[in-house]
Amino acid sequence: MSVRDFGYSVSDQRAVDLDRKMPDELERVYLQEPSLRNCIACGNCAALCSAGSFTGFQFYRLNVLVSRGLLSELAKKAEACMLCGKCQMACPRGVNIRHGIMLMAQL
Amino acid sequence: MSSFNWKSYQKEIPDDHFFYVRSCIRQTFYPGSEAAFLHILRQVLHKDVFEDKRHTTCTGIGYHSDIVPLETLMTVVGRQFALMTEAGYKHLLVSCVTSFGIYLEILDMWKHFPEKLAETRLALWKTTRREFEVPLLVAHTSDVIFHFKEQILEKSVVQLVDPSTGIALRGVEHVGCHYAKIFPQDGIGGAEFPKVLSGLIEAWGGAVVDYPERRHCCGFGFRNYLIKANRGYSVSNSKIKFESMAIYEPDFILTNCPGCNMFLDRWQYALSEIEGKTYDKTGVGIPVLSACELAGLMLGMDPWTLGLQMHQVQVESLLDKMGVKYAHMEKYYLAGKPTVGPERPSVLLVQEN
Repeated sequence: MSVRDFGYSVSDQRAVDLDRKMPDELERVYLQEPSLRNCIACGNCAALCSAGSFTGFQFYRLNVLVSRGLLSELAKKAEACMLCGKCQMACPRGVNIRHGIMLMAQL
Repeated sequence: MSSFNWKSYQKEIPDDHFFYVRSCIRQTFYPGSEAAFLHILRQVLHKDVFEDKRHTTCTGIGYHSDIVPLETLMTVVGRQFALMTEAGYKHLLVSCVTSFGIYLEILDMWKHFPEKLAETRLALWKTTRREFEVPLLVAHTSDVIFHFKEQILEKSVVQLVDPSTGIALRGVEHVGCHYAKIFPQDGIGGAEFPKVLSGLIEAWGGAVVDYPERRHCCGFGFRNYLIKANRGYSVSNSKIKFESMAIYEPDFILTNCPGCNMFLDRWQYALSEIEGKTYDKTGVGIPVLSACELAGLMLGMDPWTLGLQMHQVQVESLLDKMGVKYAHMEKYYLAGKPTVGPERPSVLLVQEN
């Protein structure tokens, strides 16, 4: 409840709280594709993404949204992927990106 | 890259003969804190502290806000050093943690880029006809309080112990980011295990509270506060700290940085007004003291002479726990006469005696 308006507001934390339990559907995504947890958000995947050139699609950002539990636009964003798999060849952490995206698109 | 060992974190602090430079924030919001520090050094510990009335701001806040150019900053720093050199001093004593970081940063820059030092000498000579030597040692006020903590304890009339129960008071220490996070070797205990404030609490009888966000920023962040549109970011940072420490029910917060003191104090008020909550059980908030103010209380200085009534979170709860004697009626006296106190906050409680 806001008592007084100073012209600025308090925003919620956006840090990843590893102690907080994830929603069940996210747990299932990580269970089915554990390599998603290996992502370090380096951006290699986005740098050579053909779909990203036209749609702004960036897998690593999608993964960050997942880890934060921000699911509202996840499935729609995941649909931009053409599943060409170039990103997987560039991923230094060996993340199975295509499988991850397939799972995210179903959320 | 060479690794630091524990010896690297043991800082040499001068015993005497200090050239003192003041803090903009401390002077403006907590003037009693600075006066107390000088009183302790000069009258209690009988040290030689010199300050030149011509010294200026270090311009650090302007520098960190991208307003003051680096060359200007270096020349201003050079001018402070010139005043120190002219007065015959070699130990720079800095009141503010932002300034402390600035002086260390400039000295380090001159070490790696000697041409910048030459440029600064030239700019200062052209503009003011002054010359300077770099200080032998740079110490922060909290370093000096830490250095003399045993002497202060010997002369103290109260300690960080509740005299009615004998239980140690629980203190949260918040070390300013620019104290040791930029140059760890110039802070007591370095960046990971700074001892400068926790060492004081322990030496003076208190118990240090460890909590998850202990090393988190106070929320100042310069532009995060100075630009109103960003101010929510600043207050949200402080909220992270308060929420993290609240469950440990600290009796007080101890700071060494005037900016941290300001924000941990003022944002408790802002958060209480915006969200309607306080971070202690009684609703008066968690008192925030600087190391200088705490040393003053330990030595029996009157809380209102120390200027503790200028804190947003009122300090009576801590004074009562420490057994400090004070006259509540004189809280808002000015030159011996009563004045009208400030408007009361709508959520944070003010203790009535």
